[in-house]
Amino acid sequence: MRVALTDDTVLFREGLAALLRELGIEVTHQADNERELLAGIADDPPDVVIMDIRLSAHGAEGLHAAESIRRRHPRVGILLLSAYAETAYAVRLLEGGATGVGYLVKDRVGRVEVLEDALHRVAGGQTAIDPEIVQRLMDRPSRQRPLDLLSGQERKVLQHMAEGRSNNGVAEALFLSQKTVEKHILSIFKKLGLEQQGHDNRRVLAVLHWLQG
Amino acid sequence: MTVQGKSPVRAIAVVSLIAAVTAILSWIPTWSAEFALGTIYVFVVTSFAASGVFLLWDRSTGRTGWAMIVAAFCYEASWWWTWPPEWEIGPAPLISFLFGYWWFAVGGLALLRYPEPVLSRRYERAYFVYFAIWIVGVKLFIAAVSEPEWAGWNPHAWWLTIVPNRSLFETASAVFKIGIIVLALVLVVLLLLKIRRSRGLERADSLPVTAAGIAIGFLGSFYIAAQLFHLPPPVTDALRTITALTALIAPIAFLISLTQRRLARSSVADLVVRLADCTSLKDVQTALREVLGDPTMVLAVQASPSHYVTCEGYPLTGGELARWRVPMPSGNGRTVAVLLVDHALRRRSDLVRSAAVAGGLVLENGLLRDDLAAQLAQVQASRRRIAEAGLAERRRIERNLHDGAQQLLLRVMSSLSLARHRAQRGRDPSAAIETAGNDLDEALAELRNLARGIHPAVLGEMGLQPALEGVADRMSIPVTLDVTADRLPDPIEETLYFVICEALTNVIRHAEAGHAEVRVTLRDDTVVARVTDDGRGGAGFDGGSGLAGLRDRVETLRGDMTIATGGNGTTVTVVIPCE
Repeated sequence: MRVALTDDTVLFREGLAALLRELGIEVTHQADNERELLAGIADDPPDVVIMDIRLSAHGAEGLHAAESIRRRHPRVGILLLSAYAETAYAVRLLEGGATGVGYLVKDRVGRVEVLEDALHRVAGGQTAIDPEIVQRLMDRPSRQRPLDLLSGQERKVLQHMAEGRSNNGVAEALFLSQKTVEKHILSIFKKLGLEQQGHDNRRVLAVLHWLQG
Repeated sequence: MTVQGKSPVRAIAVVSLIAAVTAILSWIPTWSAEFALGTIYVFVVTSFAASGVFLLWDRSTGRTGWAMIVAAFCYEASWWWTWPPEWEIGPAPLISFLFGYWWFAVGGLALLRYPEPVLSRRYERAYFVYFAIWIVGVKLFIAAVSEPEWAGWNPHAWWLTIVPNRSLFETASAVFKIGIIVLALVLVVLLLLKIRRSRGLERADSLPVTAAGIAIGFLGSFYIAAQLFHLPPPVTDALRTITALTALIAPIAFLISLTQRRLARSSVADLVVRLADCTSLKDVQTALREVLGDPTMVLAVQASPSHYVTCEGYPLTGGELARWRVPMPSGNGRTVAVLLVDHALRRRSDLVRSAAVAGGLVLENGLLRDDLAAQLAQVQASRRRIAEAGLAERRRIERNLHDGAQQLLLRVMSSLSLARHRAQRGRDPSAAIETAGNDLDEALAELRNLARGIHPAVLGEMGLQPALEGVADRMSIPVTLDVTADRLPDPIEETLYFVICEALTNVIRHAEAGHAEVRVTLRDDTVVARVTDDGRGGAGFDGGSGLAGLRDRVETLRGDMTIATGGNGTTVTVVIPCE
């Protein structure tokens, strides 16, 4: 796999690059900001762009950069990294178009398998939402919660679905058959009063919206 | 008696006349022998009664007036022993015997509690209970064990004789007198304690009356002691006359004190005239302070619906907030300001409220309204700047954390990930581990610096001097320190610390100085901090200098910050009062 890195702190960027190379992932470009990145990948787009959501002192320029990349290179996956697990960022990212995007907390560099998994999903056109964000949404107290209607297994399925896994991915993660997963998902949507979404990624957004309340 | 409000003259005249006539009549047998003493006697009785009515008319003293009226007639009765035997018939001798000393007890009560309508202390109330028990109980006992003639009365007078016993009578009489001496001296002590704990206006109010009480207590006990030790008649007679004369002081003292208070009330009228000339809120405050005799009174103005500041724009201190709040209604009934008044002035509430109303009315006039608006605008601007500075500071801290320690720690994490990955595959992880270790070192140093910038621990624990020594050590130019070792209140220490750090940072960044000097001195409850450098000058509060935000902090502490700058250096001076 080939990735480009964008982060305004060289320190972290280099650490991450070393790690990725160790995982056998080729780091094709390193950039400080959106402009540098777009210039760098113009002729030779990578599979995935890994980008800090905050590219200056001001805020979430990464979201803006993601839109530019998507416009110019629709097939390039985008994995945003953030120092903070903010649901609002994840939702904004998904709303911009939900194929091949991911939102991870930077701490995941400590869990290689999570990082790798997310990279592969994003590269494959799927979605990857940080488990912490989903967990926090599911743990939100004091709302009219039909969530309590879900069985334990259904809740696990919902969690993985919200993290952006396909039916197949959920089945693999939970060691279930694809059929069982489909049954669970049907039941979940019924209980939560959600409409079935054909597309995996639109489904993630719907679930996140629902969880947000 | 509902004399209050109306002129007291008629009531005073009636009561005084009754007192004077009865006193003159009861002295009839003695006028030819003791004319001077008789005159004093009539004066004491009359003036006690008159001052009692006067006190009743002044509603703030409660029933203290009744005590003086009762004291007048008890005093009158206490002298009936001067009567010839043919007058000493029926109950008169017994009444004089039992109630004569009451003038002293009841008068003492009036003196001790004036100008409050009640006794404020428990021990004071206890004292009067013992006093009453003593003069009633012991006197009844003496009457029960004696014949009237033993006490110098007509043998045919009414008496309460049960078991006459001469020696018991003598002993009981002596014990009674000793008790009275003790009680009189305790009264003196109580009065002295009262003076000690009273303050300001209250002390001025009660001083004449208390002094009178002390004099009466002393001389009364001398007189009784003279009787007890059977001193020669000239001495006893002289002391008796002097005691009678001293008793006269009490009504005079009441008169002086009440007159003072009426004068103070009339000074509200002068206040209105003075207020008309005021051009600033501070003038208004000064005028009100003088009229109310409360030099610490604060005129506080409303900065927001629930927030008041002093008329100079400072936030109120805890002590000020705990004071008595008297609203100053303006013309349209809205409260734009309050007076924060010493609680001792509550008993003069009519005076305080009139003054507050008078003050409230003038706050409406043009100049003062402008001043009020200007002050509030300044306060609000300063509060906004403080809030903004706080926000900017938090952003700065977040940014520092995000860019510094956080990134380092994330890299530690990725290095450790890498090391683990290598180790799992049988490759050498030591280079990655070493990178992680170095990054951790750096992250810790970053965090320490940041923590020091937020609040240096040594400042809170050890004070300004050691904290500044640490700062000076880390500076790139020599810094001479001369800092007081005294501990100052926390907010002051903290503000001075940050002002000095900011000033020194400016010196390093902009002044091209070779040397800086920091001096912090504490004198007369005021701390003065001065940072001087020998650089090229040009420092100021503008241009994003952190000093502007710090000036606001200094001002909230009622302090002042100035910058003097020229070709041969800059001096930043901060002056803050410490209470």
